[in-house]
Amino acid sequence: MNIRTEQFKKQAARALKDKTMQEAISRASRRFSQNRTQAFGELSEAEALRTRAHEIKVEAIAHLDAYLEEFTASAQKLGITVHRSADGAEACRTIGDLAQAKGIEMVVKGKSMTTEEIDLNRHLEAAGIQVWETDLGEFIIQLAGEGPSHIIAPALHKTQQQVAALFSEKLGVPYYEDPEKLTMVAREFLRDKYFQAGLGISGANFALARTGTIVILENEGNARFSTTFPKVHVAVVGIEKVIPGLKELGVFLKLLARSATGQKSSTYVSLIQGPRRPGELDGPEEMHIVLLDNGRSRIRQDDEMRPSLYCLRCGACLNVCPVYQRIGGHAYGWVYSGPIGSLVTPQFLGIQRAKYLPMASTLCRACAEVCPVRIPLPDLLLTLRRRIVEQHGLPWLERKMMESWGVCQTSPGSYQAALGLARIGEEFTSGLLPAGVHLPEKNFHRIWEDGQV
Amino acid sequence: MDKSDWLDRLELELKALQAQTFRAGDPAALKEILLSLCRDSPPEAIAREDRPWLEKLELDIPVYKPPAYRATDGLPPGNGQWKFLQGIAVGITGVDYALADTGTLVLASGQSGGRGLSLAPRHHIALLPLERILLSLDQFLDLYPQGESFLSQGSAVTFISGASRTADIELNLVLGAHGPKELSVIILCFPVGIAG
Repeated sequence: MNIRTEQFKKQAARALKDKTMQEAISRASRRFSQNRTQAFGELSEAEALRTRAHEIKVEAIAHLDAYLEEFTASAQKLGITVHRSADGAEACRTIGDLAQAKGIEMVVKGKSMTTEEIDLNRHLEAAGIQVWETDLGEFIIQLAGEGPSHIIAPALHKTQQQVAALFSEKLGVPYYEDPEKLTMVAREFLRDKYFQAGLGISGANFALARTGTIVILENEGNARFSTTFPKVHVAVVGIEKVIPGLKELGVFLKLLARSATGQKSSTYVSLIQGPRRPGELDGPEEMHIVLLDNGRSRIRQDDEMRPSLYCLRCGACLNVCPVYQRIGGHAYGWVYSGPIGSLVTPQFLGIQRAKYLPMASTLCRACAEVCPVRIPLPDLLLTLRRRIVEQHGLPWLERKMMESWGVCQTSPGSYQAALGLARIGEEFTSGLLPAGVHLPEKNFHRIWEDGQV
Repeated sequence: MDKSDWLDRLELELKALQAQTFRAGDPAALKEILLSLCRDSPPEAIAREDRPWLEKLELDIPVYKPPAYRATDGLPPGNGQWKFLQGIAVGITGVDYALADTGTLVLASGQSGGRGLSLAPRHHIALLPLERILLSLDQFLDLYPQGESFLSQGSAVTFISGASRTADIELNLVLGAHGPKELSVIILCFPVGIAG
């Protein structure tokens, strides 16, 4: 998708006026977060699990090179071809070349934020390959020509009427508003594609170093179809997804679905370890894994920002974020939105291109409260803000305000004088302030002097 | 929780996931349940897996066997030979383990012969031997302290918790997004003679 992070302010302002989108997003995210709260309430030792998950990630990322080496060797032993890609362009080239060498004309895809990140579809389509997103939400936004507005529910911003109009326009079906009917339209349409496609592409939620297994969580079954029927399966896996093994996976499986949708488990958790084996009736003949760096090693070298790599992409931080709830995902201007988007986008694209994003936080800490791996999101956002100020300085108005604030604070006299001025100023500027915002009739000093405390 | 409570817990969790559950006390009861579940499907639209202990049940249901899968040189467009799966409305599989506290069925492709029969048919009927019910994911993972033993389970080990579902349109829950619309679990409360 096109990167529009520079226009964050304009996009956020526009989003604030889009009541339909706002209502759809805030209703859905509130429901997700209520479900999460309930699921965590029923999970014994939830807090200890979060701590354990954090520790596993700290250790795995600290020794990432060794784990990647182990994972690669394990996967190769299973007959999987492992590719390392330094950036998105290289990953796209690897996959595109593979498809072309095999004469593949059609690709089916399971939902994957990593492939959104590297804009894989556009690359494959430019090479003349037909690409079908098969997750219902992804399918909807593909037809609409949009990017995801939420990490786990990419079409959250669309109403059923909008989907009905879209399907009827693009797929030539009657206008059905019923979500069940619409889902069946997509099911029928995509079912054939799984059997026609020569290549299935998936992401992965985890990669297990000890066994070479990749793990994919989903509810619809489209990822299972995409990784079972096409003759070639390619999994695009960010290098930060590697964890030691099954035991550690157990910790994350208890946390991930609960954090994302409030489910105890996703409907399908696929542990895939290689192509079809002798004696098995189905499964791909060939399996490839593309281990994608695309800036992750750089983030890892940055001691302050390293915890950004612990993210599981569950979306829980979006669902509780007062900023996300009002502006939705598209305003952020790229694939990752909400607090985690504000954190990782400037690191992936460069602070220059996304310098407004770290400001899109009230620092209320709700995100840190729900993060299943305890990423200190607000602290990391503050670090980014500090760096932006160090690089670019403060805007003129903010600098002047801070200087004046400093002067006001030097003595009680100047503070009182400033308050007096503010009171006069309020008379003239009352129309500029939002309704209900005004200075109190008496300030604290006066109340104190009057003995009313 | 007592081991005898695991079955109750499993049934409770499966019901919460909109799955049907049945208990079969003997092979005759199993056949009766299957017959009633398959009532609306013609015999040619029903297929079962080929695992040894399922064989012994003598269910009189054809084995899932797609037309010969050829390891072709190069890859012709289209995997047409798999389309036959479209004609199967009911897929009957065994279950390797069930995890009671999440209502999860574990199916290993190496044990079950593949990945597709629990996925493509509209109705998935899973036959679960009583002794294969575990309480939790942790208990399951503890069975595989060594990676090798887990790898030997096959190219795909799938955890299934309920029928395929989506809520991508305004959070309306719809079953049968891509995979089965219905999941029925029959718990076999009699010895089925699983080797190992």
